[in-house]
Amino acid sequence: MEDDKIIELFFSRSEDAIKELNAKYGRLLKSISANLLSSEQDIEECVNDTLMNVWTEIPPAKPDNLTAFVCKISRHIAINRYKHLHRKKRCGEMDLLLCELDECIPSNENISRELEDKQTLELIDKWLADLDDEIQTLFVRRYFFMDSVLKLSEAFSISQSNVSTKLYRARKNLKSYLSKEDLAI
Amino acid sequence: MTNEKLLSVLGDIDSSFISKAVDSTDCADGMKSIPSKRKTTAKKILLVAAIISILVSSATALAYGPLKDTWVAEIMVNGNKEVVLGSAIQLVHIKEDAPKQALDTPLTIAQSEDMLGIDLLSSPMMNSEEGYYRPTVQYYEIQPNGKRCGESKDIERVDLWYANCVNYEDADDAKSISMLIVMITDKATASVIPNNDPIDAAGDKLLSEQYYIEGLDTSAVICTTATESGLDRISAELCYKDVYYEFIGTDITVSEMIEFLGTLA
Repeated sequence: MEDDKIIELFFSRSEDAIKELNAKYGRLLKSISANLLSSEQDIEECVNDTLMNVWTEIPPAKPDNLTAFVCKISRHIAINRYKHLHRKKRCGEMDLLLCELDECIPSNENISRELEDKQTLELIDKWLADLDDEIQTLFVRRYFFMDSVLKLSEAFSISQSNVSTKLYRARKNLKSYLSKEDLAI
Repeated sequence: MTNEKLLSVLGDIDSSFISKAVDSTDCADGMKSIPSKRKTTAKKILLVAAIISILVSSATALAYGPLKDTWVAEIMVNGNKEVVLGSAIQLVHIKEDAPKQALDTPLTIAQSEDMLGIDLLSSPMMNSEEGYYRPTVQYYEIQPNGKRCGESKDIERVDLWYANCVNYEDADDAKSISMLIVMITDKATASVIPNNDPIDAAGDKLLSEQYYIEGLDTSAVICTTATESGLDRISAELCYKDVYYEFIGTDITVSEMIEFLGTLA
């Protein structure tokens, strides 16, 4: 079913909306949750929480891009669930992601601290827009969808080390970009 | 900025990058390895999710735990300012034979009133009356471990959603006002949690003004919220005779919302 039709179902408060959303995006939502969570039950609950959240958000929200809308909600829920499950021990895919992202943060904390999240987001959007398509997709799949390097190597038919190298260069590039923009501000 | 913060900021990247990544490669690859033993219960879970979601769909706040005689409706504006819509809203009594299931057939306001035994606000400006009835049934008990169990019992809350009940005929399709009606019944024992602004909100809900509706002797809180689409969402919230109303305007001005509020009776 087309996204517009699904949104119409949400607006008419039809429970078919959830069924149709799950039919179209359930697999994707499951995939996003599974990138962070290992328990089948946690993954199922994340998918259901996402569907529930979308029901709550629409209406009044009327997303222009339903795919991105549900992905953002799903990612947020999966991260929160992960944090809840790993309050005490630090291990797993997200900690690895956090370590990698350390390399993107400019060292001049005083200046970077002044950057508002929104400004940073605008800079990242701008930086992403200028990237080569392959690197852009790799970066988004790694740091938005939180796909593993193994999964990316299979999806792009390149070796894991190649994926790691490309991501490493992208992170360095982002750090350099943020530092320059930072100083310019 | 911390790396954790950066991970969070990355969650808000432009939607075009996300859909592009989904379109260009199959992000759901690898799901075949996830066991799906629980598929048989999926439908049940979905239905439960739909029911629970109604519980959290209000912009009002109500404390957790068993309810007493009254409840409080408040909204958060300008980032951290709380505006109380009603501090001692009574629990309402609805007809015992009100349906415990959501109705797929839309109801006019008069039909809803008749079904519930409650007077509702309406306006001569409303040119579409297709309301969808969704009751929240007290179908569970909260166990000590936080899990819910139990069977359907009483209706705790009723939501009525009148989408685009005011359509501005001379304008484009988007220009309209929708109405959400919520009432908490005297059988309520569960909780309603505060609702955040919808995810398409591009900023805080900003207080525009509190408008006193003379005919109703009550005030409506009018707020503006910027959205990702670039259009401001104008909302007006009020409590009247123990029923909570939210009017959501699409592509309308605050003045138009005020004009509409003045016609409510």
